[in-house]
Formats: sequence, structure tokens, C-alpha cells
Amino acid sequence: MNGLFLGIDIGTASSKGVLVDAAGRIRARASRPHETSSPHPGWFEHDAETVWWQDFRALTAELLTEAAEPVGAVGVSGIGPTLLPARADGTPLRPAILYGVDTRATAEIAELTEELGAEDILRRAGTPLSSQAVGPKFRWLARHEPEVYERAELFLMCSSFVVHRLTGEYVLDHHSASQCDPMYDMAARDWSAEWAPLVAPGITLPRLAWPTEVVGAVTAEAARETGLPQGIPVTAGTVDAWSEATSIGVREPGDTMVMYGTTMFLIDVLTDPLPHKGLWTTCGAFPGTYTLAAGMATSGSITDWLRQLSGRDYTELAELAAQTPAGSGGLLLLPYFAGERTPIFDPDARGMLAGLTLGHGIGELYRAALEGIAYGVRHNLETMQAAGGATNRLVAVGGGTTGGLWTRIVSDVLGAEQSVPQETIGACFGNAMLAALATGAEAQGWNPVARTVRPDPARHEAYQDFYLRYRELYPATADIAHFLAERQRG
Amino acid sequence: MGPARYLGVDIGTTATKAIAFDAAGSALGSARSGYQIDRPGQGRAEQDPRIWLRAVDDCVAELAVNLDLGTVAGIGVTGQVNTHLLLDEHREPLRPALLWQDVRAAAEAAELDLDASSPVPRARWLARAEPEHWAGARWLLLPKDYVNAWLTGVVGSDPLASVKITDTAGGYLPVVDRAAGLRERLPPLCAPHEPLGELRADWHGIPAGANVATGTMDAYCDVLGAGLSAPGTGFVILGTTAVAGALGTRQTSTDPVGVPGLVTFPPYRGRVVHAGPTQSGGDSLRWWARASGHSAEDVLAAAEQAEPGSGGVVFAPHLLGERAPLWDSEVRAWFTGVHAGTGFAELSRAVLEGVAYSVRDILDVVRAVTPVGELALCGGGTRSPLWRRILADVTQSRMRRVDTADTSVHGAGTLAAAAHQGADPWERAAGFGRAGAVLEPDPGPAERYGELFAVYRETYEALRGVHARMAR
Repeated sequence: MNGLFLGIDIGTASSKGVLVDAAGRIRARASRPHETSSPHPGWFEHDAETVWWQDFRALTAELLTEAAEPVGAVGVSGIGPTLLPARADGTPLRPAILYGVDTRATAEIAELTEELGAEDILRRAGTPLSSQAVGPKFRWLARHEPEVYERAELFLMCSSFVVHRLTGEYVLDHHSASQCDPMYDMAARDWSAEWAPLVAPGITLPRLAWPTEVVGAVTAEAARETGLPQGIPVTAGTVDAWSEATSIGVREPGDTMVMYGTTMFLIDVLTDPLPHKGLWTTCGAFPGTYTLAAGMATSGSITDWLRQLSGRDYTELAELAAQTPAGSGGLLLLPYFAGERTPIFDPDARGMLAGLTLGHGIGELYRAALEGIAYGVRHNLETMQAAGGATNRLVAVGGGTTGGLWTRIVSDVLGAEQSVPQETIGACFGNAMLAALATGAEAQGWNPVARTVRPDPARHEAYQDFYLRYRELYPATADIAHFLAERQRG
Repeated sequence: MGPARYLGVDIGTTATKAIAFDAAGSALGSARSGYQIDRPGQGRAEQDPRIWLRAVDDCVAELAVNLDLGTVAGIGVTGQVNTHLLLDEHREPLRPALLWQDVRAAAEAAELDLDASSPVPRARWLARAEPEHWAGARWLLLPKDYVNAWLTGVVGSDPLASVKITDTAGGYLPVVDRAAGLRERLPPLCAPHEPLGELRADWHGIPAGANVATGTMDAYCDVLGAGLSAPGTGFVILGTTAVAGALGTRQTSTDPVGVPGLVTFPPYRGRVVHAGPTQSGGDSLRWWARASGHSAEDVLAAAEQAEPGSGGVVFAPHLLGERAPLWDSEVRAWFTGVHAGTGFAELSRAVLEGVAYSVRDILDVVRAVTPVGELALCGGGTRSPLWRRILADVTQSRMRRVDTADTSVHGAGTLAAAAHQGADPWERAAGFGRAGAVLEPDPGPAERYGELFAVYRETYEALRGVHARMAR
């Protein structure tokens, strides 16, 4: 296979692209911000034409101006799971309804859970229904916008929409499909024969492929619109975090990604599905694999909150926090500022600071935030282990790994090593890697480990008690948090 | 305003203050002289008693620059208590004074089940650790009694300032005998408004022979200086700590410890003061300003931008553990209900509201033993109109602002006048108080504050175990 690999990732607030050569070197990078619309409280949407397709075209055009060799294959990822109803030719019928941030289908979640049974949903689809699930959003659409639903023939997600535009193929990857709860049967690795037609009657579901497979080639029309060579292969695409895990070599059972982003996100690779009511079970990016995923509701958002509160920059905050001993002088921060997702699934949980004394300043507050999130990571990893997942090798990625303090605190809290790869640009790099793998390249050594974060035994020991105290905070104060959350809604 | 008739002095922990008053209790001039606390080791806090004499002398000299003190007829001195000094038979200090914060006698206190600031364990410690000082000591005194002895040549103290070692009849309790040699080193007792003696020599224009009152402790002088007189009136003193309480007419409990959760002073001239001191009042504001990297003015300005109830965020001010009404040295401060929409404004307001919840918590206990009507509001923290409003609305109490930050000095002046005239100190207090504007509670936020106060109480209980285990 000759030529460069094009990887594009379409995110919530921006899109990113890279061109990568056969040795795994990034030859060009580009990014582009975009808007998320919220036409109604709790609704979050993207216009597929003006956000997704325009981003893809603009990023590709920009990258091609820097391409010294022709592009040989294309891989795409995006936010997921999203619901975009479309005509048979792929024309969107309305803006795409986004993933878990969009909470419009609350009634339908309860209704479907009641109808199908929580236990059965967990066993067959791998994950309890939440605002992340696509099934209840189909029902919402049929109920609230029947004129749209009746005309809908195709169901597209972010990556599959772009793949359809590029190739004319109507296909979805297994991982994305496995997030369409409760429409995908985990054990059968196929659309659920019983529940898919029940939840989305009249919709022709896409054929399924693995993210490592080529599903089509760039059509003449797409070549004209994008400047890409006609006929080059396009992979199935997938959901961004799974491309990101791919980009850092998280692919073998027991490999676990720890993504330090706006929210902490964890992906643990499995050989068999291990449904747990506190986690998300899905198919992995690689054929035949499964994953357990966990996501906190805040993380980087709290460090940003403290940055704004104090008017100090991250460098200064990290310096002050580094001078503070492990445990922040007995200060505990419960990071549930936006409720919490895994493993407690409580949107009405609330943040708390406990153990405050006159001696605590901004350094202690900032360190307590990093530690609180680290305790949250440990809580999630312990839940993964309780579900039966092995977390043998942790790979850290994301903006929060820069500087090194946060990863050090997480390793000290966990008592476990984390490796940090050289390239942390994220999912777009993983898409280029998937394109390389799908077209027969090895992609060996594409993203070597840059450094290893090792736990300090003394600090790990010091954190044991603080972690136990942290775990006591939520059960002790959950009722109070729920009361305050209700009042905060007015 | 008339000529200077009375002088009030407060020997504080960080400064001495003096004010000259006319016969009606109007302040004519004030002076202040600051000093340091020496901390010669872990848990130790000392001051050289001679710095107090120098500070008092400096203050009076400063007053004399602009005022003719030749008409002064009475002097009243108050000051910090649970601070003890040793004098030899010539009334010379034998060693630095042990301040109220000094906990070197913790082991002796534990043996006796008393506070480390009590004179009983301290006498034991001194006898053990510094036998030569103890043997040479004629007197164990409080700062204000030392100053009074210097002014008059007479050694004496009062039962209210001699915290927890005196009985309701004005004598020493048997507990003082648990430290050998302590009783004989304690001064004779007189009532605070009784004359102790006369000024020995002319002093910055004050003629020799001027009346010197026995005086009493700073917290009690705060009550007198706030103008409290009628039973049923309450007070909130928002200084470094917050103290809330009220005047009752009689002791409601025969238990010498008084009401659980409160400090009940021995009856004094038909009144019983019930008071609850917290650990952190105004300190909570200063702490939050420092921790968040802002000035106290920024915090107060930001708090104005938040709604009553701080968007469902609740703060508890137990930054140094808590005294009244919890008496829990292991509890720590907290914020709860923090969410994505919580900003600096909400957290800042929550800090002010949290201090008000701690005041309400005390007043609820006070109201269980004595009716409380209007509250006198004093202390530096009450300079903020927002904090005054929050205090009135959270406690749903009518408040009368006292327009001086120096209530304890006004109280000392009150006692000077009462001692000189042979008058009832409570009657004089009504005249010496600096009554300011009345603040009515707004019933609008009453329900919301009531709910959040319940959250404040419940969260304390919920976090009790976590805080206790963290402390150990």
C-alpha cells in the first residue's frame, strides 16, 4: 500500500484531521471548531450537512494542500451514538440528535426499560438504558415528529453518514451498533432480531462491519467534492473514543485506556461481554473483541472551573498543588459537579468539599480536585474488575497528561503504572491507523511509549485511607445532594 | 459632648485599645497599640506581661494628646481570659504569660478532665516543669488584673473572668485545690462593677485617686458594651469568631455546666448570660478570600451577585473544628451541593450564609432556655450590609446594629461608670451602648433558608463519621 492515510474525527465542539505516512509519522494536522445547537433545554443537535460534511471537506482540503504524496485510504470517526434519520439517498430529514448529552427521551427510557425489563436489557444489550441509548430516541422521534419518522429510511450516525457520503455504502461498524441500546445483540454480534424492529419499526438498519474493514471506495461525486482520489478505500469508521484507544495501542484483552479529557473516559478490552449495571459493555474496535467502558461526568471541567475561580493559570496551579502533600492536608473533593455517570449513574449527585481547614489554600483545592478525580478513576477501575475485566496495562492519553502531576497522582492512588504514548492527538490518528490496518499495513510501532508513570509506594499507602473516606462521602450525603439538585432545578 | 469622665481599656490578644468617654457614654477619642504573640514551640503561645503595661500606657498617652484627661473619674479594664501570668511578691512577672491558645498543659488537663487553658492544669505544669518559678510565685493573675494591680497597688479579680473556677456565690470552687498551692496564689474576688482601688499617682493627666473598677472578661464586656440590658435581648458578635447569645433572668439549670451546647455565665446582678462561641466567623471570610485568591472586598462584592441560598450550595464554617453548639474538635468545614453552575459568587455567598447558619444553630439552643427578642449585632464582620442582611434573614430575627466595633471597650467604660457612681451596671449599659439602625428580617427567603439550614444540620451528621476518621 502506497500513499498517505487520511484520518478525520468529528467531535462535539471541533473536528480534527491528520495525514499519516506508512511509518506512522504525522505529515499534516488540521482542526476546525464548530457549533452545537441546543434548540431546547436538554436537546443537543448537529446539522449533518453544515457541521459533519463541511468539516470533513474543509479539513481534507486543508490537509491535501500539505500532502507530498497521494492519499491511499481514509478512516473516519465521530461522536456517538447519534441518531440521524435520512432518506434513501442519505439526505438528512432533521438535525442529528446527539449522544448522552441529549436528554430528551427520558420518558421513553423509562417506558422501554419497563417494557423489556432492566435485567434482560443488561444481559442482551450489555448496558442499561440511559440518555446515551439510541433506542429510546427512535421512539421519541416516532412519537414527537411522526412526519419525520414516516419518511425515514436510513439510520445514520456521525461516522456512517460521512462514509455514506464518500462511498454510497450504507454500513455501520459493530462497535457503534453495539451502542444502539437495546437494538444490538451482544452475544450474536448482530442487530437484535426481536428488539431492533420493535424499537425502530420500518427502518432498514445498515449492514455491519468491523472498524478494521474496508467497506467501500470514494465515488466520483465524492472525489469531486473533497479532492480525494476516486476509488481509494474507506474503512467502516467508529465512535471517537474507540479510535482514540486504537491510536494508543489499546487493543489486547486487559489493555485499558485512561483518557484525561473534559471528562475522564476509560475503555478496557475484553474477550467476552461482561455486562455490569455500573458500566457500559460494547463491542470493541477489533473483530471479535468486546470492551467495558466507564465515563465520569466531569474531570478537566473541574480543573477548568478552579482555574476560572482562582484566576491563576494551570502551570501555577500545578506548581502549588505539587508542593502540597498527598491527601491535600485532609481535604476531599467529590467531583460530581454534573452528577455522575459510571459507576453510580446519578444525574442528581452533587459536588462536595469536605475536611476544609484554615490551612487550606488554592494549592490544596487544586490538588484535591486532581485527587478526587483520581479516586473516581479508581472507583471505576475497581468496578471493571468487579465485572470480571482485567486491567493489566493502563495507557494514559488526553490533555490532562501534560505536565505529569495528574498522571502521577492517578498512578499513586491506583498503585499502578501508566504508560503515556508519544502521540496524543487522539481519534483522528486512530482512524489513520485503522485505515492502514484495513489496507494491509502493519502499523507496528506507530505510537511508541514516551514515558511510564510509576506509583510511589509511600504515597500509594497514604492514599489508601483517603480513598476509603472518599468512598464514604457519596453514600453518606446522596439524599442531601438529591434534595439540593431538586431545589437547583427550581 | 461633655468632658472626659471615664476610661475603658481592653487588653486583647493582638492589641490593647483604650477609649475615653463622657458622662453619657459617648466616645471622645480612642487609641490602639498592637503587639505580637510569641510561639516558642509547638502548642505554646506566650506574651511578656510588661508589653501590656507599655501598650496601656501608650494608649493613654495618645489619648492625652488631644483630650484633657484631668476630669476622668473612673477607669475600667477588660481583657483576654484563660491567659495567666505569675507575679512575685513585688508584683513583678516571673516568666512570660501563658496565652489562652497555649496547650502545653494538655497532659495535666487530660489527667484532670479540664481544658488545657484552665489555671488548674497549668498550675500543675508550672509546679512540675518550672518549680523555681512556682515556688517564687505570689500571684497567678489574668492580664486585666495585672494592669489593675499596676494602676492601684491592689490585687483582685472577679468571678466572671475566672472562668470555670468560681461558684455562683463568688468564691473559688474546690477544683482549684486539685493543683497544690493554687488557691493561695489566686486573688480575692470582687464583683466587676465594684471599685478595686484608686489610681496611685497622676497618669497622663488623670488625677491620682481616680476610681478603678474590678472589671471583667472581654466577652462579658462585649455584652455590656453592646448595650444589652433587658432580659430577652440577644446578641451576635461577628469578629474572628462568631458569638451568639442572650440575656436571661435566672439560671435555668442547677447543673454548674449550664445548658448543653452553650456557655452559661454565673448570674450577675439579676441577669444570666447564655453565649455560644464558634471557632470561625469573620475568619471564614478571610480564609475564603485567601484560598480563592481574592480580597475580602472582592468576596463580598461577588456574594452580592448570588441569590439568597447561593444556588443550593451550603457551606459550614468549621475550619478549626467547632465549639458551640457542636463542641466537636474533629469536624471540618465543607461545601455541599456544588454543581456546574456554581461560581465564585455562589461560593462566596455560601460562606457568608454558612456563618449565619452556625449563628442560627446557637440561637436555636439559646431560645430553648430563654426567650430571645431583638438581637444586637456587633463585631467587625457586621460592617458588611450584605452579611447583616443574611444574618437577619437566616435567623429571621430583628436586629439592631451596634455602631462600634469596640464593644468590649464600651463595656469596660460601662463598668468604670457603674463603679464610680455606685450604679447598676445593666442600667449603665443601656446608656453606654451604641445603638444603631434596626434591621427587620425579610420573610421572603425564610423558607429557602429554613430548608438549607436543615441541610446544614443533616450534612453535619452525615459527615461526622468521615471527619472523625480523617482526624484520627
